[in-house]
Amino acid sequence: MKDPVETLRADVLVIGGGGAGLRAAIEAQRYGASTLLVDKSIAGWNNNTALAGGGVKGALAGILDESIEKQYRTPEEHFVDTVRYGEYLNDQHLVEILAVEAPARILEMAEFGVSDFHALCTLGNPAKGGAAITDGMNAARKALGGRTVHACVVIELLRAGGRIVGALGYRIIQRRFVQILAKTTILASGGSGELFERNYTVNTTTGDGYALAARAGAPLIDMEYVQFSPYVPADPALPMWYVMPCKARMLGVLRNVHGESFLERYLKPVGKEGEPFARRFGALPTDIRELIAWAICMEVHEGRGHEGGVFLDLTHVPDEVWEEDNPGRFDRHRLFHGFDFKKPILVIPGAITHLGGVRIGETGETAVPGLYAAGEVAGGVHGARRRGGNAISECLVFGARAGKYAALEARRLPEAAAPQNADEALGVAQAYQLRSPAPQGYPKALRKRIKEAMWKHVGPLRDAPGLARARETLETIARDADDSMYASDAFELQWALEVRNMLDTGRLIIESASRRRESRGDHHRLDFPEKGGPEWLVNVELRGDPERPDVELVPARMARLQAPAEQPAGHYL
Amino acid sequence: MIAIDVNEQTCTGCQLCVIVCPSECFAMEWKTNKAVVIDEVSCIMCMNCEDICPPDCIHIAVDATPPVVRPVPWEPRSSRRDSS
Repeated sequence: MKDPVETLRADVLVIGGGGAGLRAAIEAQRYGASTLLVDKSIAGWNNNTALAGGGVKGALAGILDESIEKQYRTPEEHFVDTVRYGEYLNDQHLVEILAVEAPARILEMAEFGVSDFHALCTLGNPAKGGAAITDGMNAARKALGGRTVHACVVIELLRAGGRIVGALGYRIIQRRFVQILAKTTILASGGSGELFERNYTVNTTTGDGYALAARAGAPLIDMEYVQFSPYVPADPALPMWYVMPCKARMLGVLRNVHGESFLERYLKPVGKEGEPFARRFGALPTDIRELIAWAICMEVHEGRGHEGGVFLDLTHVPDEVWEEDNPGRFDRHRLFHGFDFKKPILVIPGAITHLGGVRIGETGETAVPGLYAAGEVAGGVHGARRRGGNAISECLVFGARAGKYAALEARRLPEAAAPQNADEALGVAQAYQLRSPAPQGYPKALRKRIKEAMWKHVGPLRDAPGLARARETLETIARDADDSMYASDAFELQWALEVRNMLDTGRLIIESASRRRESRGDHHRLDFPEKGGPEWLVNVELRGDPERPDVELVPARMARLQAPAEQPAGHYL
Repeated sequence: MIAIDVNEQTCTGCQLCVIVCPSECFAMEWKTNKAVVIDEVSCIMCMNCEDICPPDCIHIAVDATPPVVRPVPWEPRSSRRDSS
């Protein structure tokens, strides 16, 4: 049952239809390149930007909402705070760009029909707060003539003479393979949240971009840095991804199995007991998500959790605050499952953002000619921890940059040459299609096994034996996948290809997490609980075959801001 | 509670709901070429399915029955330590 292969051409191929991909396509079109955007789902609909519930960050204090996340008065303040919070593992050249360009990129959203900057990501549907951004950009992209291939899962990046010349994909609805040849390719495929059983992300974040880039030979950095979000519901009666209204959440109190508020044990309180979170701890919860997640995990680890989690108590939040969030939001949430937050909710942290990723330069270029990357799939901006809101700013700033420079490069180049690895990539997918179904080869079951292993051993708290077990488990799953993974319909082929990518991305995360023998930022090692010395101000860089990558510890790129010689006590909030 | 309703009479089997749902609430029933709901609890009410369905055959209904959540191991109000 060989499905036919069609060929499409464009100057610039954009892989991913979220914030970064849409922004990149707009900019590439503006610079005179013809673009083709490929999305696993429907471009602009099912991605983390559209479903974001927080905000966006930039030096626009007074214009952007300051009740959810800290905002800055100057780009300098944004730069310094991002680097200090990122534990000096950020690429400072990239942070400089983020801080300087974010205000313009955010204000420019008005061109795409976003008028209310105050609540850029909290407008309208509470579960789809970022839809104003993605809908606006998607309409602008189409108006500029950007073309789209919806529901198309990318199998492999195509190579010709050391350059990336496009990608081979599979169109789920048409059941047809498609070869997209492009002069330059922008990877904007998002993160890896779906690799973890507990996550706060859309189902499409299966780490495809990391695997595609690694197999194409691009170096990746900081793959151990997965950000975990604290308030992820764990009650089986509620959806795990339950977007709670921001303002009410700001007042939440976390309680352990005994009903005690326990955050004080981990974060030094600066305000009085009973005060709202920001006054009590000196930072807004959305800005220090990973610290709260770590505190929850430690509390559970020390035996004071309940069914693996703790309780988020919002019972004291007055109705006015719920209503304040935005008109209609309170009612939506009260109706949503008939749940009114009058009972504390069991929460266990979950993966939300992958901070590391493909190493990029200032124009979004990777080390592989013809390949650019932007957004969550790229690494280096956030370092070891991420402030809430910086992810969307990153998508807008680096999406636009990658789009511009990929278009300028494409303009200079002749048509893409015939790819050398298309048949090989096609063979991978067709092998799954030709195999007969067997229970151990059901792709969704294999995906579940990966998610369980990754969450259990490579979650917020890690140690060497756990990481070794995770590696063994992944290799067992990989053998099962090699022997028996099948795809008897289009969705199964999508899952099978995702399993292949999840295994490769999982291997990269485990390899990187094993190398960092210290606890810094979002990477917590139970066997190395302390932050290491200056020798650990390095990015773990992986390159080559994801099964056996070459590892190098590369000093983090510092520019204006040098890490202090002495590590200050406590956490930088 | 949430109930996702797919009108089997008008569903054309276009698969868009399966593709846009971020929580994998839908699957295809290939024998009948209709979308079926496989998971209602994971629905986050993003309304992607309702919004995209070309024949408008998906409806998300909500009633006021509260979900049965796990009991809290302490008495929420009486044992409260802080007075927020």
